[in-house]
Amino acid sequence: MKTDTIRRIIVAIAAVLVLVCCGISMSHHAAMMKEIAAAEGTVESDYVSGDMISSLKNGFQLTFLDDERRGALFDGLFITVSLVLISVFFGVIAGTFMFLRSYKENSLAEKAYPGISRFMSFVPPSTLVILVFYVFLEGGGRNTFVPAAIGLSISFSFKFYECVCSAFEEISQGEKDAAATMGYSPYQALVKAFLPGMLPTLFDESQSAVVDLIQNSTVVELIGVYDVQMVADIIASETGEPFFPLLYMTAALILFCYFCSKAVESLNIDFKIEKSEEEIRARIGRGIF
Amino acid sequence: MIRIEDVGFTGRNNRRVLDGVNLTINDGDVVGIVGASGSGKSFLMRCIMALETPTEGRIYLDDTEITAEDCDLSAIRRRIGMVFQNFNLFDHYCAVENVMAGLIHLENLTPQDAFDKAMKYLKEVGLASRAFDYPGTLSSGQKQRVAIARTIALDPEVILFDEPTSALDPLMKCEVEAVIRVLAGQRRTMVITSHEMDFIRDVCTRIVFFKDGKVWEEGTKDKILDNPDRYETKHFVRALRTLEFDIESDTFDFPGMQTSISEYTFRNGISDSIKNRLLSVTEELVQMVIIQPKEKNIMKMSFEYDRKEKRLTGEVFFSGPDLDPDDPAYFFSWPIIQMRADHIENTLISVNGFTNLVHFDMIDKNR
Repeated sequence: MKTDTIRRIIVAIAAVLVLVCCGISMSHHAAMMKEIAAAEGTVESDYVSGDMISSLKNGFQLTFLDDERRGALFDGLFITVSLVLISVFFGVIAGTFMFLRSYKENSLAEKAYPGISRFMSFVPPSTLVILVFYVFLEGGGRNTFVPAAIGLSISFSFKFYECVCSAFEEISQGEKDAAATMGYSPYQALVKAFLPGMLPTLFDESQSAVVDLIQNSTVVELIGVYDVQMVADIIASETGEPFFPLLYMTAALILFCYFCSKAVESLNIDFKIEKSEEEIRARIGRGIF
Repeated sequence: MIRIEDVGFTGRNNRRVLDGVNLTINDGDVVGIVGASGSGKSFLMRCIMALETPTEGRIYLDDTEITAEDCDLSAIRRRIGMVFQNFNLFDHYCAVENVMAGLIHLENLTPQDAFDKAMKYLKEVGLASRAFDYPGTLSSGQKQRVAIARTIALDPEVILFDEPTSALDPLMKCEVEAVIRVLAGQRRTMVITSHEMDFIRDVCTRIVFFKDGKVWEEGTKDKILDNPDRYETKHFVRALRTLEFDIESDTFDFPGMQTSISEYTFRNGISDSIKNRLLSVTEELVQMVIIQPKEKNIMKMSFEYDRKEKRLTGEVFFSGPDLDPDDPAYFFSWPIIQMRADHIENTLISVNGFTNLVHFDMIDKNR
């Protein structure tokens, strides 16, 4: 097997593990909060059994991934993944739209969007989510998922806009001149001539934005990378049992390394642009360019 | 036919880039635009290609005004092709894909038809065997030939060549010039800007001399290159073949002079052997006249290369006492100069403060 393929498989497994860790941490935290709340008799919970309440009264004795908690785990994972997918989908559409509007020289959009985008980069995504949530609450809504999706989509759209802009800047003035002299219209040149060349840069830049989005999606669910660490500390201090805190610490470490350090670059999947003669001939034979 | 009427362009700080340019390029014409760097010839090409909009005047392609606000620029640009100094290939496409791109996206050919046509043009420029190579692996000459194939594949009515060989070394120049000569033989309408006078003489039917954003003089190639009416044209044509230095003190920029000599020999396709001999002779002369003597001398050097004869001629004027080759002070330098030059002559003169003239020739025997 080629080294590249092995690397990709390892990266894919690691990515799944990271997502699972996110889910586990979220579900644990959510279940724990509910257990505490149920123990205090304020909230009824699907995930809390009578045994748990009694165990809570006598101190934490956590059972990892029992049947009740499994539901919470998948709920947490589902929410994170859904939020990411929805935000990426709408963010890409909005970001692309903004770029195309600003692509026209001397347009108002060309002058305004870069400034707006820089400003938005200072606004934390969670602030946006809270703002949208507040508007929804004012409107009488109680659903937190939709405001989170809207807030994160807005935030991601600006990040994606920046990604497209920086990828476009990679194209030399000479190539732009060449496309113009061949008779491409600006949009034809962008979509047909430049886009294939922009993809690697766009993909690289977007990866960090998506990773950021995953982190923010988990933050929306109250647990993020740093929160995992925090939960690990709480459990360690309250139970005195080494195994689970260790597991949490490891998860936190993986998440931290994976999201916040150079390990992100290992995700840099080789976007292969150069094709061999056989590949080019095969594509032409299939009527693809 | 392209008609340029009173075209002017005022840039930043009111700088006149183009000033009242009038020019007509008829079908089948091969027009050479010559002039010093910064004279506005490339800018005029960009205006013809509608990449820049002149601030005054009009440009017509047949009866369509390119400079009109409502002009469909994409349609106009499909009728005109342009080859750039820096090739401007799409780096993410291989050679054949670079040629195919326009055919598929603009001519709406199927990939198979576009591939067949692209291969035909790559064959025409001698690059069929490198069709699947990416620009990064091609030499500059090959890249320029791919750029030419990409342009002619779209079958434009007029092709503009903006200094197509200026970024190439002498060997690569020959490759590209050969391709352009073939195109000129096909009676295509072409406009070429270049500093290669021999190439312009071979290929063009008409030559335009450009200076300060204006058409200074235009006419047949024999008239412009051999018997120009205006002094500026004559000076420019000669200046391309000559190199001059004025040395007025021993603090002059000697490395700068040597660099200029290297650039001059490169630009004129002069062999390394002649270049090294010339560098050696100039160094010894500077040593003899400027650095060694106690008194302050002045010196003027000029070199001219004749491509047909493959002969480099040098004239060195200098002040100071009369040159005596037997003087012990010249014991080392003069024999080196004599050895390096094929023919050398020393004359005593009295012109503009100069008292000596050393005239020498170097012939390239290996070419």
